Amino acid sequence: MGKHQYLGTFELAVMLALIRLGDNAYGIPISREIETRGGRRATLGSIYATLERLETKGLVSSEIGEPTPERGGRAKKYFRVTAKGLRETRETQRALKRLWHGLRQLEGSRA
Amino acid sequence: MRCSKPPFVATWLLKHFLTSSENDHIIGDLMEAFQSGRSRIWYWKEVIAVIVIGGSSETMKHPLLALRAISCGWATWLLFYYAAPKVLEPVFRRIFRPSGYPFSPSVLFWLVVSLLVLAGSGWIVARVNRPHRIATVLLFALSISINQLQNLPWIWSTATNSLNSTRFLPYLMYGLGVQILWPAAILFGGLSFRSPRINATQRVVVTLPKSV
Repeated sequence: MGKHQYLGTFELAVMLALIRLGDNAYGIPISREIETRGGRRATLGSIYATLERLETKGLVSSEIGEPTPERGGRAKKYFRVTAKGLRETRETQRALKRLWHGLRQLEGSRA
Repeated sequence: MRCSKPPFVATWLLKHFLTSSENDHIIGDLMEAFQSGRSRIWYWKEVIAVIVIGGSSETMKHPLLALRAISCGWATWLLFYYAAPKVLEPVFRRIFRPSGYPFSPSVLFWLVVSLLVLAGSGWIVARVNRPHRIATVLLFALSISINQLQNLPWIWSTATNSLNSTRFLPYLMYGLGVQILWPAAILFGGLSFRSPRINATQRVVVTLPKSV
């Protein structure tokens, strides 16, 4: 087994939202993505705290974008998944698949 | 008709209590979401969440620094709370006639002094933990508020008595006022502290040519 630090549930949700959004990943679309696809409400505070943690781990990078009038002249902060972040996400997916595999109770519509 | 501007107080809190100075984009995100139709309640919830989550994650990064700063704040407050009445009482009695009425000069004087000391302790907490001053001051104010919860039974009984007799109202107002004013004084003191910043002009080192 490798020395992977698997992503937590919310970290994984944020990473998947970032991958899906591509170049347009900043606070509001990320929270909308988690809400619509993940079916859970996420506050911006928790999203930014998670993004900061992921950035410290080197899984995410960020850059400041352009300021817009509807934001009171404030710039956006765009996030992007790094190569290491992609690797960790894939590794988490594999680990979850392995854990999932062969559990009859969770197969089909009975669960 | 819906107001196009987000709640002023919430934005003010956001600007002053965001723990990192590089958080302008969060304010921008909240404004953008509000402009696109989110409610005022949503805005308030988000502001509180951003401040609480930001503050707690900041504190968790450096728990010992936060503990040291909060201990200094508590030490200042307890020193005043237990020592000041003994030291100042004789002087104080010559100026004011002692009274238990909440809005008497003597009680108001003590309230003002306590507010000044709490503002000072908030300032000290901010100074001891400069890099994370906002998160630590918030935590200190929270700890004082939690300690103040011990007065809730008294406030509750005064409130029920006030329903029967209006003469209890000043006591109730005083009790509630202290609950709000004490943490507010800490926050005021903590926010008043400004870290000294060295600007570019102050950093210039002048090297004079050696005289022949």
